[in-house]
Amino acid sequence: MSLHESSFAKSVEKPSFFGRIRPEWLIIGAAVLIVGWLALVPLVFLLWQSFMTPAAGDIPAIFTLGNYVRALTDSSILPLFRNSVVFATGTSCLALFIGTLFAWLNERTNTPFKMMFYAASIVPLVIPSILFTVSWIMVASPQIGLFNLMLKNMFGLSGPVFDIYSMGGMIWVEGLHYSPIAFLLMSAAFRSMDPSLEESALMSGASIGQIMFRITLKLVWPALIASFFILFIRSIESFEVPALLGMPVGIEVFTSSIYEAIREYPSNVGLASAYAVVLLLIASFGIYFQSKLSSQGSKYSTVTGKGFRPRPFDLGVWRIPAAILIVLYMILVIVLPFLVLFWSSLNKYYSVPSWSALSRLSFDAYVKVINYPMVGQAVWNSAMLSLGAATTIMLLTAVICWIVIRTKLPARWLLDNVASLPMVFPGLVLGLSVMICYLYLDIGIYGTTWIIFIAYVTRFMPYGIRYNTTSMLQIHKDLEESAAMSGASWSQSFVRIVLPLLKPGLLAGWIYIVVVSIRELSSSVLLYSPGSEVVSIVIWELWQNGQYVELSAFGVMMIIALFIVVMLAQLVGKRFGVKEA
Amino acid sequence: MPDTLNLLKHLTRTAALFGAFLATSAMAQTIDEASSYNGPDRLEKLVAAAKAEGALTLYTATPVEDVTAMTEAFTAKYDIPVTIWRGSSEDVLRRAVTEIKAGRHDADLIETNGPELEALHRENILQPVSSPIIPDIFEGAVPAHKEWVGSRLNIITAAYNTDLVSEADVPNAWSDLLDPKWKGKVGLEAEAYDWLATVNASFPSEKEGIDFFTRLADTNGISLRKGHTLLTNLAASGEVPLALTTYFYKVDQMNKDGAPIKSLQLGPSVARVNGLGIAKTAKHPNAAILFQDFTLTDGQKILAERGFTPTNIKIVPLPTSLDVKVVDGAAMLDKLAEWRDTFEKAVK
Repeated sequence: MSLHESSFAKSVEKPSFFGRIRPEWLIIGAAVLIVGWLALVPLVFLLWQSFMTPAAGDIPAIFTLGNYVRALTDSSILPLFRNSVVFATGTSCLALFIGTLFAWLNERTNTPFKMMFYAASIVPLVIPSILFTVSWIMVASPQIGLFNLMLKNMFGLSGPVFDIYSMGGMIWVEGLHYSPIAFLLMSAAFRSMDPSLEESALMSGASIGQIMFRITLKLVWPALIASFFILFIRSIESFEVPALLGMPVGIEVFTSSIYEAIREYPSNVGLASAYAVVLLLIASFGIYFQSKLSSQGSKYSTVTGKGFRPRPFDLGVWRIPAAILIVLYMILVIVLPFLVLFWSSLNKYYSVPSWSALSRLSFDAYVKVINYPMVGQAVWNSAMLSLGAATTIMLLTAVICWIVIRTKLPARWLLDNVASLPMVFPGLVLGLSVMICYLYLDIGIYGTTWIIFIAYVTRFMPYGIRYNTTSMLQIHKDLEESAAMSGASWSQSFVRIVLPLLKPGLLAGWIYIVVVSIRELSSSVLLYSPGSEVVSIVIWELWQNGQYVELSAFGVMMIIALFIVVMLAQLVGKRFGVKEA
Repeated sequence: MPDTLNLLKHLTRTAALFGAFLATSAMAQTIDEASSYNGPDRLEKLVAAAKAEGALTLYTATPVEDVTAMTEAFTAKYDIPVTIWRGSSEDVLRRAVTEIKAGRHDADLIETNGPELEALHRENILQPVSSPIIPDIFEGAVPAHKEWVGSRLNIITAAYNTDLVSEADVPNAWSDLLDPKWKGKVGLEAEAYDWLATVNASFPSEKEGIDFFTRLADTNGISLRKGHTLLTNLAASGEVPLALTTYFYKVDQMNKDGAPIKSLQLGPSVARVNGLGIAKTAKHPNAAILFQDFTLTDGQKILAERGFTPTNIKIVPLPTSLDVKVVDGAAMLDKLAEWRDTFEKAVK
């Protein structure tokens, strides 16, 4: 019996009017309304635009099916789509493999440097993807790549060893860049997993490999699916890596056609929307598949009433290779890009590290960035917006996930789907829809920081849903039922039982949203106004003006600041929620 | 649900349009008067009215440090504070059009690229201004309808890496690039459609130009890079030894910083015009006209100091070493898709 049913049973006992309107229904109703409004504004706009011709000057927009005809029949799209699918599949598999492996080592075993590693793992996510890609050009380009030059000199080779300008190179760079997404989600899943099943298997003589594949991975199946889904959608939409690494050798992806349609004059938002609707259908299928998992009841719930204590797994002699693996990963994905970034922030122009360049180093770029117009305001606004949006989203979606997983309401699948769709909207279309909505619906939001807040909550809500869903699936409904039996109200059991048990997912999702909302550009750029500038505008400005040195300096400072935020969040998280053994 | 939303939009839009109508009919007199008056006391009248307005909002695609230098000088001279909104040239166009059509008249003055300004003209957003300064401006930088005036040129030239290309090897003519020693060494910005259109016009015929670039791509290959500044930086770092499309001022600036990069005259230098237009719906029309005048006079020196190429050739003459050809903004708007196809067929 679910909590929904139990509270319903209670309300039957007290048939008075006020007795029936219980406070939880106000909270639940408000959450559904907010999420519905936020998600439907861009959805309606997208569908509406996809049936309209572009308006220019005195020619008004009229109804058309032409956008869909063009999007679906253009023969030049098909190879682009194929490239996109290969790229996204490769990237997701690589990122998922790396992220899962390291999340497992970090959460389930007694490998060293744990907490440090967790905070450091977000570094690739913080580095703007343009800079991350450019630093890989510096490292592995056939012409000037540092690795290629080193290997050439060491072994006297004639040709380059690595070629970053290839599909493999693109997958490698994007996969590494996105691995923290999988790491955060899988860490949360591993953290709320009861180790007793693994322990019993070990007692019965199973090897580590057997335990990993037969028990651990099977229990975190929902999290694996969710990670793959997020990674796939993100890499289908990604633009920088294909533009910087694919374009020079003629590998083009689907996103470039969305981008070109928007760039035309008159801007063909309709065609871009039609492309987005195609992506939307694919994503809906993915979400539907995931919701099938969540309707399978308590198959994945290992957090039950029976003395749950997450405890690390003793790797024994494997501790040393595991530590070496972690150090290698840290060097490759965290330290190396960070050092390239740091190196270029000390130069006057972008150059490959060399002894002769050492004499030219200075900290001028840092001084310049700190005194840059609008930097102070932008940092403050971004800090408020990202912390505010992350907290709002995680709490709001916790309620939504509870409805989707715990209740038997008839349209709950739709709720999950609607709240997840903004993930697929092109950022610019989403920004435009929010902009137009609050220009015409004049309630004083346009031109303030609030409009950016609304855009961020809409844009990143789907991630909140995915992080919370995976964690919620692991919690057995036993615990809430016992609370209800002992007389706790819905709000009490939600705040004192559900939220603390959700903590790993809440924290991971929160960190993810803080980081990505600081970098969000495509809708921020349309929505900010004088006085509500954000950090991503500064990043864009520096990139646009070719001030890579200052951009690198800014990136270094951002990494350090966010590293501290994540460490603090972990410390606070430790004091709240389930005690770890 | 969609119907209700659309109805809501329709209702609020009607209200906004009505409000806009009331506002513009009250304002029409002043902006028309201010923009067409050409008497001897024009400047005094303008300054007095602008000071009475006391504020100005500028939407701009100029890098924030450069535009701030300009607005600070303006505020120092006239004591009128300027609010800046900065975005890419396309963002400026999109934001201005969307806001003004929705009846929100924040923008007084819009500063962006030629094709986007031409789009604003077609969207019926700009106010023609008759200014006594216009005759001094470089010919290609003022359109016949005078709804905007070019204030600076963004010159695109070729550049090479001086560590990797010796003086003797520097190409002097297009045909030199067909030499096999340039295999895999030539880079081009990935969306240089306007550049191709303008450079192509300098060939004896359109076909000969396109044939040349097709042959270059077939024999030696052209590496396409997204963004002019990225390409410039990659040329300096040695990744692309010879780049056909770099910003002249950026190369100059990096060269002064000690980077091994130098610009090169190969065919004509293509210039993109950047200019300003006054919104018909401006709340501060006098301040906007005053700022446009300021940019075209005192401001030209500020632009020159910051490495730009100003258009008022009476104040700052064009660099003599360059054969400058201006991109035709209106033609690019009409033929963008065509040139994109030509570009993709020729160089990809």
